[in-house]
Amino acid sequence: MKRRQCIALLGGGWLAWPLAARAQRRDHMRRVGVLISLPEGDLEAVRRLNTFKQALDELGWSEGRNVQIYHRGAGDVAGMQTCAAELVGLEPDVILAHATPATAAVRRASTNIPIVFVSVADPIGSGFVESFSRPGGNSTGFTNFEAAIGGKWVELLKELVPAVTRVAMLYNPDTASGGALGGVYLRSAEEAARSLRIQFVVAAANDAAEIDRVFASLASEPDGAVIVMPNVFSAVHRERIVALAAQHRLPAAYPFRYFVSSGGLISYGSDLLDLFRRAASYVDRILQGAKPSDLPVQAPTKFELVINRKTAKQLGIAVPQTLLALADEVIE
Amino acid sequence: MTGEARVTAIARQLGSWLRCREHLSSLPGLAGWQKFRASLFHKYVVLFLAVVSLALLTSGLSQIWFSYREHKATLIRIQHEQASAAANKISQFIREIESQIGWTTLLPWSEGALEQRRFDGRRLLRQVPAITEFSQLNAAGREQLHVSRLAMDVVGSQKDFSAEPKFQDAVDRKVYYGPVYFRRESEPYMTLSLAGSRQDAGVSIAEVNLRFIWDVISQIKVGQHGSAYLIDAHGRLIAHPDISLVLRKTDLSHLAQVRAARSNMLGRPTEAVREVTDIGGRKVLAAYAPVTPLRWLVFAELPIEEADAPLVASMKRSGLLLLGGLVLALVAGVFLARKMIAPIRLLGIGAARIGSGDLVQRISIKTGDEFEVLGDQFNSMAAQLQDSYATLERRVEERTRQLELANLAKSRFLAAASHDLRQPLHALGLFVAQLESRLDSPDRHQLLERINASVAAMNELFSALLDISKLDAEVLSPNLTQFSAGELMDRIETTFAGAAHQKGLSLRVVPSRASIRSDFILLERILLNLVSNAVRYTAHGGVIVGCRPRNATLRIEVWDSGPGIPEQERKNVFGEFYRGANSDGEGRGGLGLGLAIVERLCGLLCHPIELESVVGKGSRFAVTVPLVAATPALLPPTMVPQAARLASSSQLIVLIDDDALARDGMDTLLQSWGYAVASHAADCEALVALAAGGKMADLIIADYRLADGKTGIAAIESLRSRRDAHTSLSHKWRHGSGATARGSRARLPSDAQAGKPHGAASHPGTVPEILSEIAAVA
Repeated sequence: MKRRQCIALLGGGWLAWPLAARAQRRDHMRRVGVLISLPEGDLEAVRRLNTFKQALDELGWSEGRNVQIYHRGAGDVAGMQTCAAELVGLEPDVILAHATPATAAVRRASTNIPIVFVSVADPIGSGFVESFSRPGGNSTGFTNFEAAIGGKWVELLKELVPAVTRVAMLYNPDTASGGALGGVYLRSAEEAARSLRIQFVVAAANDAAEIDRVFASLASEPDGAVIVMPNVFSAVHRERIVALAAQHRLPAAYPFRYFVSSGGLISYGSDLLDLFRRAASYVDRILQGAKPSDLPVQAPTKFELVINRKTAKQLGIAVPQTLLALADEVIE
Repeated sequence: MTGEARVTAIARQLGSWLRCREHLSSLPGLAGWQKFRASLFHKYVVLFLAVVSLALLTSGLSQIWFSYREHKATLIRIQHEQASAAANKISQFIREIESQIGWTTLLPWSEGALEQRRFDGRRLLRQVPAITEFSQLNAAGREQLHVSRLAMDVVGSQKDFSAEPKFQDAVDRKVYYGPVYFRRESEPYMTLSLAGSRQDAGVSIAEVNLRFIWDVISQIKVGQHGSAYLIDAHGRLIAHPDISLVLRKTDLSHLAQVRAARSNMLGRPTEAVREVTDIGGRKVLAAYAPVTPLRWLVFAELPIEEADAPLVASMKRSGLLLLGGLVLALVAGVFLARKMIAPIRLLGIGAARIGSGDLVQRISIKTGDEFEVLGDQFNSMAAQLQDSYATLERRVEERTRQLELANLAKSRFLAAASHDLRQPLHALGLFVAQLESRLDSPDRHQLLERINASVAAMNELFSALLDISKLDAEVLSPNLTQFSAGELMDRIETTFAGAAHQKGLSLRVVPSRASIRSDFILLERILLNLVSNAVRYTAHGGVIVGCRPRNATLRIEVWDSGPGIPEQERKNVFGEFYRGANSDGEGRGGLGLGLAIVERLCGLLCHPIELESVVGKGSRFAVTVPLVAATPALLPPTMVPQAARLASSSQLIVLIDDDALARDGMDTLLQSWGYAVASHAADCEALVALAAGGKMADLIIADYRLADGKTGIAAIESLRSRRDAHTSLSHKWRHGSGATARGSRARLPSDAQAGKPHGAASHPGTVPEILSEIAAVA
């Protein structure tokens, strides 16, 4: 009967609507490559990777479900190059590169894979980006310090150890930003030292043996102090540096807190883990289709002062109360 | 109106009405009713559906409309609140920084406290992560302290900032909010300077990194896909969930909502919420709120699709519900319409049946409402119609019966009256006869002749009247017998020979031996009338009566050489009371009933009668009677006129007649003829007399109608029963006048069977007849 057909049609139509209205999200596997300038087994590297993964997960990219993360790491330039090549070979959608040499290595390995760099001192100077607001190219990311921070380190050391007369800046010409000229921080540190009437020494070290020599020569004269520049080399050899500083009873200022937690005396710098966290948001944007050239380079906003009182006691340094009060973290 | 006319009128009406009934029943009836059922059903269904769908539609649409408006209003309110909340948060953020900075402006500026100041500064930096740099100027505007997060602190530089707005405005207004500028073209910063409450406290200046506001903004949730953002007084984006937009120094002053908001801020109010496009070009619902100390604006935007989504969903839902409701309404409508139509249908069918004449059927509707009442009304109407038909029929029947009775009574009356009237006439005749037998002088003879003729004429007239009325009352039924036509001819000749001779006409009756089948007496009557007419109306010439056989019939023709009957009169001659011009020229000729009687008799006997006439030459009447094979027919006893002869006086005639006059007359006449007569009024008298006299009657003559309702036959019987069977005794009965007329022997069935009919009934009026009868018997 006509009536029954009508009712059947209506009933069927009603049921069909919700089915038809459902749209399914298609997940297909994305690939992210991570190149950290530390040996792959390094704890710090692992920590940073985990921070990055967690942040990415919070943004909706969970490993195994819709994204595959490949991690490579090396402490030296050559190793970094190999790793970069490997990663590029895996055809990732985006590569996260930590530190200037890794970024450079990745850029050499590929020119079109989007790169998010983390903890690069001078992206413009290194040729990664054109400008902070409009990077251009295929790279964007996060810087770690401004050049003027060098002066801050000198200042801190002076405040901590008023008797300091000589300051040496330890760096690796291969991995440092600014190349052979000593990196971007040298100038500010040098100026600060001059204004504080401290003798300034630039100490280059290419390998572990040379680190020993630097420390030994510095310790040969009294009232010396060391500033460790933020670069891959110092990150790789951190244990050695800290140990040497303790051995030679030299006060040292470091750029990152992980030095201090390993036994370093004082550190003032940006939160590296936070940078990785923020890098995840950029990776997320790129995975969703944004172009690196549209994402401006970001500078860190948070700096933390960390003091290791134990080390200070060992060195016989009395940390001024004011400094202690101003410290973001004091390790006992 | 006479009874007859009334009956006719009623019958006519009934007939037309019956025809009407027939016409109605010939209509399609039920079929016609079926044809209309569909359209009413559809009408009801459509009406129901229309009503319900109208109600549903109006309610649904108005609901949607109102909920849309409410929804919009709610959204607007929410957005506004969100924008206000965001603005509040940002305000608070700024004020927080201010208050923190405020701590540093409490003490007046003095030389010795630099370290302390530096510590305060550094502590400020520690407390307020947003401040990247902090510097303090003394009351003269010279920099005393510069603490930086990024670079080395500078103490006592004495740089002169006294001309700068960040110093001057702070001094003037206590607080200075610098414009938003970008460091390295990508970082939004703002200079915030605060002057101390005391004049010589100097000014504290802080460079605030506005990226911290981004945290506040990005945490604001506007719906699912909406966002909030912050622009400065120039329309440049300060904070946006998409940080890259901020760092690119996006200028939003071109957006309509921004323009509107800024014009509002300037005191030119417009709508609070507008439907505009956002940065990405999507259509959004935008609400804004100002950040009060600065002239910044927080915008809360919601995409219109999201804003309308619940509305669309609710519209879809309403649409589905409406459809469902319509379907339900359709089903319910069909069902209800069916239920409603059913009693109407029943009524229609019932009415059609009643209309087609079936009044026995009753409509049965048991719905308990007006329909049931209507059905009962129909039933009562049908019952009433039935009753009225029955009544009408009954009444008609009654009427007819009454009329019949009336007619019958009239005829009977006429019969009785005639009989009574005939008595004196009969007496008169007797007297005349009496007189005649004693007359000598010729005058008296002539007078007597005339009287006789008058009496004869009156007799004839009365006979004619009686016959007519008898014929009209249809009390005559022909008794068909076979007899010889010739005998009839003889009687005719005998009857009219004298009259014709008197007038000088020749009468020629052609004898015939044909045997015919008819009623003798009635046929004789016909012929008598015809010939009488012929004789009457013929002046000279003659009358010929003849028979002409033709096929199986015999034409008896009466020719006369009279004046003839004109063409136009031929029909009228058979009418009642029609008299032609008499040949005698005396204007007499009877009542004019002769031919009328002839016509009726011919009709009764089914003998066709024809008339041919030529004016001036004569006429010819012809009666056609059926022939039969000549068999020796029972000849009725011939009534040969015999001369009256005197009887022997030894014969006794008993005369019984209740009418004294007639009795006397008859008595005298019979005695004059020489008979011995004993006349009595009743049979018992006669019996007594006879018994007393010891005589036996030879002949009993009794009038049929006697007193006390006795019949003559009964009287005779009673007399006979007293006597022994006398062979010479025979009884005759006489027909009285009135109801029993000639030829109605069938009328007296029981009487007729009792006794031998010895003589033909005859009119008592004519003496020769009586005489001849008596003579025949005696």
